[in-house]
Amino acid sequence: RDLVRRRLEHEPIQYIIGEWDFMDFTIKCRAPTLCPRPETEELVEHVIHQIQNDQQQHKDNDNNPIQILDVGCGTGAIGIALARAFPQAEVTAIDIAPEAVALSNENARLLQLSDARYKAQLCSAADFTTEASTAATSVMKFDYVVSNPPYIPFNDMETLTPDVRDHEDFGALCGGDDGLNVVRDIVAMLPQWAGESKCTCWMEVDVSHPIMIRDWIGGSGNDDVNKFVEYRQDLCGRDRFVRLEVS
Amino acid sequence: MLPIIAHKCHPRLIQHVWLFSFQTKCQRRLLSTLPAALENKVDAMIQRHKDLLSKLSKETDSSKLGSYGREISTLTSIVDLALERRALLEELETIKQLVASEDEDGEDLFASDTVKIQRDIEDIDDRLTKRILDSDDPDAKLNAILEIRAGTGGEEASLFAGELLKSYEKYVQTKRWKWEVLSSGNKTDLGGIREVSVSISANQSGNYDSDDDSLGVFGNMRYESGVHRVQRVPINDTRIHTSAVSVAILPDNTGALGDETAFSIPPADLKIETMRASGAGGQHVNTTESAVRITHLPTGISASIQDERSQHKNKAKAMKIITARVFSRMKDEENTKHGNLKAEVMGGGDRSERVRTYNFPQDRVTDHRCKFSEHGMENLIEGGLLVNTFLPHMEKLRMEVALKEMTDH
Repeated sequence: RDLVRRRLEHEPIQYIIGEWDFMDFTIKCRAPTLCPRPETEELVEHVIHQIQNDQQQHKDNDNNPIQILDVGCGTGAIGIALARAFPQAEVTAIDIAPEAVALSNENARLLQLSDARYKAQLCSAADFTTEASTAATSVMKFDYVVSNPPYIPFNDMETLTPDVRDHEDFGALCGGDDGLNVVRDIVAMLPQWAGESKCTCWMEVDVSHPIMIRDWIGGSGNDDVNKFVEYRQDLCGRDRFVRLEVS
Repeated sequence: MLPIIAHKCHPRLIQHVWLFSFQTKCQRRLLSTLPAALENKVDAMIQRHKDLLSKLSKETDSSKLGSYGREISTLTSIVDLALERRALLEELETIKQLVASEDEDGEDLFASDTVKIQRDIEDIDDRLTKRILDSDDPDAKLNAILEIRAGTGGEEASLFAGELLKSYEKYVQTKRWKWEVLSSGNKTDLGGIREVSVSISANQSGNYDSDDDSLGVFGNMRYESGVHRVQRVPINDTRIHTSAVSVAILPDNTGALGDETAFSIPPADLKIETMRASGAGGQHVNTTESAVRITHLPTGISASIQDERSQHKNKAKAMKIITARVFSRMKDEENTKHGNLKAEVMGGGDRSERVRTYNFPQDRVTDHRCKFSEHGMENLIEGGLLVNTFLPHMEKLRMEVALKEMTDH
């Protein structure tokens, strides 16, 4: 009866059950941390293919671990999925919400990922400088940066359905007026995060963003370091994913 | 235990010849001697084997090595048996000459040896025939996808569909295979099912053992494909009803026995859709609706799954089903070209072919292809014995058909 009441109050089913499936595993979900969407699974699939292709091309290269950074980790879904897919990967994850950091680490341990393979810490994208990074994990440079940052434009926030609007973290959803605030932070930090060799950045964004990002970076953006490679649609046919590169 | 001549036989051969002779006791011997068509085929295979081996030693292109290797291992299993046979024939010849050069006692002296050798040759002939016919039948070792659909007969059909499902599940358990329901519709009011898809897989040991004559999941279950007709008095009536359930066994070629031979559909031929077409999607919506529909554009075949909690898993299941359906359609078209009997027997052809009738009042199941009947319906169904009851008879029929086709060409 209590469960029915909660459902009638539009509490997300993932919070009620306390967990949900993502990719091929189950993760704990807890308010107010954002529940993973199906589109984010597609993001992970794109990154996995990317890493596999890169590995094919550099077969003879070093056996150094692949360094992955998950910005805005939430439940930890993205980073954990990548860590599981690549046993030689080491994932660093950041989020500005303490609940998210705790939940990400909790999910990682539950799925048998050690501290060395997956570690989430409290930090914003803009503050995640080399100093902050090395202090915590001694990882300075990343091969892949992945993010599902808050990307909903401010004016859309009131149009959201009650289960999202009333129960999930505002800070995990809203990306400022045009929704691109956190995306801009990430792009600004990318050159610092990139290692000696190529760094690829995959992001899930609002349907309005890919074209805007392409025109901003690829065009006459103030950015000679970052390169806009491509954008892709999700399975519902909406512009959803962008790939950037720093070489 | 069949007496075995010690030399030239390694332990595996002993085990298999014994096993096969036990099996042949259950069915009439296929042939009395090896027909000319097969003799020719064997000679051709021995030659090809030699050619491949010499090509292999000279080949530098690594991409060809894989396919040479595979063909060689298939041929090896046949060539080894053929050479055994030749050796036995030579031995027989030697004995004949010895007998001819001796006096009358000679014949008695060698009589038992002669009999032994002849029986061994006959057993090898049967095994050889089976292996040659099987070499044209690579799908037998694959895993399978079972699809059951209730046909005409309303509730009755649904109920029987449910009973068949349980029966096959019991069978799969006794074989210690893995049973994974991919998608099931809702149960009807009385507990029946209208449609279901199940993935059945055996533990693949990775290396193809060329001495292993055993059938895989598909090889065992393929004769279940077709329409099963039921005649019985339903729970809620007094008269006999006739209803129908359609069963399909699809070969599952996804990732079995080495990926290079696995069948996969070119991504460009597939359209993948979700059911969430409207609205902004993404972070805007927290949906647990992650159904996926995949359509194969060239044929129009589609599969949609919504059972799983993650879109990723739904997509994986839908891919498995659609790959099997498309692969199966291709195979059916190929088989139909060879004539309807082969298509029907090989588990394809017109899926609306009535293959079995379950007559409950007479307590009898009849297979209309091999014309074999068995009594004890309850035991057969609940004991999961349907497949094993008809398998030997259908296998024999398949071999007769395949042999006929080979000798006709």
